[in-house]
Parts: sequence; C-alpha cells; structure tokens
Amino acid sequence: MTSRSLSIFETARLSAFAAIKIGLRDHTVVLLAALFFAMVLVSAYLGWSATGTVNSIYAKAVPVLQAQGKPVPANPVGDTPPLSLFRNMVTYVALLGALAALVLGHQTVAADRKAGVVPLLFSRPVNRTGIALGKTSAIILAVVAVLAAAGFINALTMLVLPGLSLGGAVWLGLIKFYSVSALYMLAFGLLGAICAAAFKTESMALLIPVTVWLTLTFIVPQITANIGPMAALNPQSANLVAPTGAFFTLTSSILGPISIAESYRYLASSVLEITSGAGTTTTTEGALMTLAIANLALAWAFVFTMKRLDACRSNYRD
Amino acid sequence: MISRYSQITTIAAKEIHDAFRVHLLTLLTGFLILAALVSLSVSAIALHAEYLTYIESRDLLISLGKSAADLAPPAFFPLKLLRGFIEHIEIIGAVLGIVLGYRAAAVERGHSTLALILTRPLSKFTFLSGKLAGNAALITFALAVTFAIGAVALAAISGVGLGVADIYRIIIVFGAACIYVVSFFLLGFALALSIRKLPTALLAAFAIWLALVLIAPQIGDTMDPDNQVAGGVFRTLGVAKPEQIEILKSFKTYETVRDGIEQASPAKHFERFSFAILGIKDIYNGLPIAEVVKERIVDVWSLLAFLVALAGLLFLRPLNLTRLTKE
Repeated sequence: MTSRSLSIFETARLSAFAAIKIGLRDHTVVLLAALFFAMVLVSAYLGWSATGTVNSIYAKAVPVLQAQGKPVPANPVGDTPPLSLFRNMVTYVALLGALAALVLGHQTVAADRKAGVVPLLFSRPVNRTGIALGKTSAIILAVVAVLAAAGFINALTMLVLPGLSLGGAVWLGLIKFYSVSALYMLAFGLLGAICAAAFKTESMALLIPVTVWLTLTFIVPQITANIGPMAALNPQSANLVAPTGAFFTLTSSILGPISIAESYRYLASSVLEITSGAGTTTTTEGALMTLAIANLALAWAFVFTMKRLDACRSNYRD
Repeated sequence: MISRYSQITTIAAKEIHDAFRVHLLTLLTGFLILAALVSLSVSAIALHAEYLTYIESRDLLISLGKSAADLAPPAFFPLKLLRGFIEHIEIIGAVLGIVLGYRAAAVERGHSTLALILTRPLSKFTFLSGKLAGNAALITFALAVTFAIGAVALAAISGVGLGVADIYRIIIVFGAACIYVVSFFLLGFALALSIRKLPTALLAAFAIWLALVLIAPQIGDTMDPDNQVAGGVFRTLGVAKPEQIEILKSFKTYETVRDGIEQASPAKHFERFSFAILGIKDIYNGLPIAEVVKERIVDVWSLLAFLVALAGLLFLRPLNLTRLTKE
C-alpha cells in the first residue's frame, strides 16, 4: 500500500479540524472564552444600568428644574445611540478578547509541539503551507464563533431594553462592530501562533506576545497622541485631540500605520457612535487598511515560521 | 545544622543570581524604564506644545490690542509629569511581579528540584521565605533603578531641579510601588505553586491581573452617573451643583456598589495614593506630606491588606508535590 500526498486544501482542512478539536479540549482557552462572555454580560448590564440611572436622574431633575422656572430639556437617553450602550465592549475586546485570541492561536501550534508530533508529522509528505493555512482557518472560525455568540447576547439585550429605536442601521452597526473586532482579535491569534512556532519555551512564547500587546495598547498611543496608559482603555479616547507640534505629527505618521490598537479603537468607537471622530486624523479607510495589512503580514509570517519550524525538534519546554 | 536565617539568605542569594543569569529581570525592568521614559518625555513635549499655544494666543490678543489677563498660562508642576510613569508602574510593574513569581516556581518545577529540596532538612516556610526575600530584593532593586532614572529624567526634561520635599514624595511612592509589585509577585508565585500546568498558572495570573488592574477601575469609572452621557448628565440637563448633590443622595446604594468595585482594585489604591502624594490630583497639590498620608491612609492599609492576604495564601496553603511534578 502506498501513501498519496495530500493536496494543500486537504491538508488545510484536516489541520483546521484537528486544531479546533484541540482548542475545545483545552481548559485555558475555554476558561478565557468564558471570561470574555462574562464580560459581554457585564457590558450588557452596564448598558442597562446606564440607561436606568440616567432615566432616574432625569425623573428627579425635572421637578427641580420646573421649581426653578428653568426650561426642561429632553431626556438625554433619547439622544443616545442604541449601540453606544455597548461602549465597554471596545475595552473588553481590546483586553480580554485579544488575550483569549492570543492563547487560542498559541494553543493551535503548541499542542502539536508539546505532544511531540511535529517530527512525525513533518516526516510525512504533508504541505507545511497547508498546515499553516488550516491552523489559520481554525483561529478565524473560533474567533468568529466567539464574537457571533457575543453579538447574539448584545442583540438580546437591545431587544429587552425599552425605549430603543432599532432600525436596520443599528443591526448593521452591530455586525460592523463585531467584524472589526474579529479583525483585531485575529491579529493577536496569529501573533500567538507565530510565537508558539518560533520560540523554544512555552513561557517565552506567551510572554513575548503579551509584551507586544502591552506596547501596542499602552505605549504607542502615548507616543502618537499623548494618550496615557489608563486613558487608552477608555473608548472615548479615540476622540481626543493629539497635541499640536512637529513631534506628534512625526510620531503619528511613523507609528500610525502599525498602531493597530488605535486603529481598532477608532473604528469600533465610530461604529458604536461613541465618538464623532472629529478629534483624530485617522480615517475609516486608513484604520481598516492598517488592520487588514497587519493581518495579512501576520498570516504570511505564520506560514513562514511554520515552514522554518525545525522538524527534528520535538521538545517544547515549559 | 545550618540556621534557618542562613538557609533563607542562601535561597534568596540563589534567586538573585538566577534572575540576573536568565536576563528576564533585566529585560522587564528595561521595558518598564523605557515605558516610563517615553511617558515622561511625551508629557513634557505635550506641556511644551501647550505652552507654545498659550504664547501664540497671548501674542495674538496683544497684537489685536486686547488684554491677555484673562488667558490663564498653563500651570507647571514637575511632579505632575509623573502621571503616566505611575500608570506604567501600575500596569507593567504588576506584570514584572507576576513574571518573577511565575519564574520562582517554574525554575524549581521545570528542573524537578522542588520535591528534592523539600526532602532536605528545610521547612516549607524557610523555602518560601527565601524565595520571597530574594525576589522582594530584586523587585526593590528594579523599582529603585526605575524611580532613580525617572527622577533624574524628570529634572533633566523639566529643567527644574527637584527639592528635598519632592524627593521625599518620590521615595514614599517608591515604597508604595514596592508593596504593590511584591503583592503581584506573591500572586504569580502562589498560583504557579498551586496549578498543575505551569502555562495555565501564568495565564490565570494574567486573567486576575486584567480583572484587578484594568477591568475593575474601568467598570467603576463607567458606572459613574456623570460619565454616562457625553459631556456629563448634569451639565446636559443644566442642573446646578447643590441640586446635583441632593439628587445623588438617592443613589447612595448605587454609589456604594460603584465605589466597592473600584476599592477591590489594588491598582486603584496605589494610583489614588501616588497621585495624592505627588500632587497630580489637584486637591492634594501643595498640601504637606503628613496631611496627604493621613487623608489617604485607607489606600496604604488596603495595599498592605492585599499583600498580607496573598502572603497568607502562599504560606498557609499546603504544597502538593505530587501535583506539582513535571508532566
């Protein structure tokens, strides 16, 4: 009996199924996904709480204003775009979503390396590009599944809350928000997979992408727009005006194209209508381009790293 | 028989030697210093840009024959430039603590020396104390270097020499930073000595770090009634301050829950204390140190309680060696 070599597509399909099965069995991935869902529920609660609190304040303010003979303005809840209720999701995707994606991407490669199957696998007539594409597809499917479930929870919240006008534009906005979030999380999933293939120890393979994430989330926004580390967590920071001067013009033009955290915050905040975008020099097209190029570059880097993975090395230390 | 003190210092010395050998401490401290310097430089550049805008506006008013008396010049307090520096200690300093805690356990588990060490005439308490002493010394050293470079850079960037009172204030914040980062060391160390898989322990520590350092303060901030409408709900409605206070009295439970969420974060306590001592928070700017410490003593107790609780968890929990052997 002779073994036939599999085509790139067959290899990718088999590799994707195997990676998804491994991801579902991994407690860490499941735990982080559960934590992310918990935060989706918290975000929904905060949206509900915000509406309730503002309504109560308005109800108490009306008699006070009437007693003072002042004009009573309209309830601000009526002017609040429905999707802005989920403004906390921008922060949770940027924090927990990115971390969960990073661990998921890491596990798709690390599971094979820890099991010691890499030398065996690469001794067979398999296409390494196909394996990398399969693992990439698994990461995409997992990210889309998690975000689809999160979107479903948000949709239910909007249907339950009274007084929201839910037109087609709102539902389209929700889809756009999760599409942009998928692009952001996918970038970190691919980064996790690259590091798992490139580093000798699991600890370094986790620590390095976390450091990259810290740099992109907290340091780069400060250099390009003087947004402090804690302020960077606030989705409203997408609307902050960068200080004038040659320094910030130079840094934003050099670092802007690689600042995917800022691009994501800008796009997500614009879609959720929590920013007018007036304070930034970023454009929707520019921010989308940044995320798309980052994903393509990382996907290429992952294929390259998988091709360079030492087929003789089976050990993958803690 | 070697004394317990000698055993502790031997283990501590080995920790320090190991940490420098693998360059992990150097790398993370370098990253923290880089972040702190970036923050200081950018804050100074932003302040300079603000000053130039003020000069431009003032000159324009004067050229139009108007008075520039109503145009307030930007206030300059050198210690205020440390805002981003403190926030980086909050975020990256905690990561440094977690990674050192993880490494302290992983190095023994990875080489399967944990069980061997504890078969020797050495108590669990002595072993853990040695590890804690060594890593606390490393953290103090790393933070001392970071704060010293930060203070020198602050004086150089701002062009204003720091006074004795300013240096005292920085030293007090350095002390609070040591307590804060050692707490996160204890978290990483305790988890890496409890969870069967080491990478899971590292991720669990990061998940707790996310919740305590980044998510809890953010939730508290979001729940602030005045943050729920762009521009502030009371400003939008045109409600004056005395009426605001009256209306907010009926949200006492809500405010208690909100404050409770913020109080759960050790990062928030470190931030509130540091911002008060350094005068970053305007209401404390210019107040004597003793007065500020007295007013923010609750933050000091909260940081110490967090440290003691984690130390208790580490020392009182039995070590399950069968569970911790290498897979």
